[in-house]
Amino acid sequence: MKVIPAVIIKVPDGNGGLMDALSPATPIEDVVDRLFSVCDGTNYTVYEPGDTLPAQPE
Amino acid sequence: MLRAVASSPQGNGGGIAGLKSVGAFGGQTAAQTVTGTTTPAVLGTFTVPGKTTGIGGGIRITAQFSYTNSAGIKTPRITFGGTQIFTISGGAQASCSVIKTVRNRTLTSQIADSNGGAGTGTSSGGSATLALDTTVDQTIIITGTLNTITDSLTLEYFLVEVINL
Repeated sequence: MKVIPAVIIKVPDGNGGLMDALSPATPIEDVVDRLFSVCDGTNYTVYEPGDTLPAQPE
Repeated sequence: MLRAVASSPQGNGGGIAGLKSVGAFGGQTAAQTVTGTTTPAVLGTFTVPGKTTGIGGGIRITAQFSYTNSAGIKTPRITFGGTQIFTISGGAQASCSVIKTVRNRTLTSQIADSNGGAGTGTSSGGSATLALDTTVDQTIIITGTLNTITDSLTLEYFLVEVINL
């Protein structure tokens, strides 16, 4: 499991301007040993094989 | 920034002996979820290198979203080269499938379906025109925004394909 801090970056807002958005401080590679990632507002947590997964929403 | 790997650096859309076919170019296979915040979160990005598509060519973005099926509003958004090409806000929904084709009329002008449409079918919105310079790199950014922090919005995957004539 990897925990990557979330940082604020500027991204297009769809109206010709920019808005703040969370983004991982370092890129998360889309590799075969990455199950999924969760952004909780503070960190991007990358779950890998063997990790205990969080409860999934209904 | 999430980064996907291009599988076809030439970006020629594949094809054999003059038969042109769509080429899978890149994307993201692992799911990315946002929860616990109402700040928009980047769920995936992909940069289309300049000169990947020619006149009459284009890209097709396929994306699958999953939501907490609750009344809270969830807003996925896809931008390409800084221009929004898709967003649909809604609650009481469990998923959303999107297939967006952005096709070059010239190297600096494109046509796509309505911003508020998922890619096929009818829409109250008009067809969208873009003014992207495809001779330079242009980035696809996919974000998700929640109105209720206990909800979740997941980009299950996205795929970028190159279409060239």
